[in-house]
Amino acid sequence: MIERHYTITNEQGLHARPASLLVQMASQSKSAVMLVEGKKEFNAKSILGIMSVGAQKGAQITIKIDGPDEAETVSKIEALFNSNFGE
Amino acid sequence: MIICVPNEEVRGDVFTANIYVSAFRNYYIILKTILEVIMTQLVRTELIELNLKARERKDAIIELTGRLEQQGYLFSKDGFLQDVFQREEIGNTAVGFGVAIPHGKSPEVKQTAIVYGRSELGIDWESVDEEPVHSVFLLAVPEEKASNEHLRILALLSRALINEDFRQQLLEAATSEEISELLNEVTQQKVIES
Repeated sequence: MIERHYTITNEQGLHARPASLLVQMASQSKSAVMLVEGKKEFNAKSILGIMSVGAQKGAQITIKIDGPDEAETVSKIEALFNSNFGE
Repeated sequence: MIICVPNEEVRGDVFTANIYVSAFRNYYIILKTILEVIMTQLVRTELIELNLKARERKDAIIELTGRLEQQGYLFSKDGFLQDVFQREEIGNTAVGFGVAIPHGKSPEVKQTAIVYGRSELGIDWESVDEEPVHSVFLLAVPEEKASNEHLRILALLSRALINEDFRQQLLEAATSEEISELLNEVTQQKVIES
């Protein structure tokens, strides 16, 4: 299992558009992808799961990836966060 | 709170002054509560459409926007529609489970609102999963409030919609009152929690 910590830097937080980009990435993966905020875990393959977090700018979140293609998935997700979701 | 006591006669009457202070405080609490209720009652029965006529995404958005305009939430209907359609072009707002959440943060919105529309036959949302949409939530958020308010409402709705029982209750509710109660309960609960 791979874990990565991120701080949300989007001006508007993890709203619907970045959430859907993350879902697209996570859904392509054969691994389980979870988004953790505080003690709560959300399924990153579900748009409702990600939007449920309501992560605002500055929020600290953790992405957990567990499965056969976790290394590949983590690099894709990392790129997404680094690009600030294209915003 | 500072109470000015003008002369000695009045100064003796501390009791009366206390009553004034507590009356003021109660008044303030009541006003605050009313304001909070108004702020969190995002879904009014007038903003609920139990039987959408539209069978396509664009028509459904137009139909629901009509409700908003009728109830005086918009400066310009066309301007708002343009913003919502633009958002749909960036990415489809179907979220699975037969639910779509189109949204417009727009300078044309006077006050935040959620319009709910239900369709028994289903609406073609042109989504990847090709699943027909039976529940549509149209969010209208004024632009200046957009950053937090918009995210907060999306999060509240999403948390509720993950729950299958909740989705079922929405589809089975017989009246607009039932639906607005269901939705306001969800949003108010979370407001108190946070």
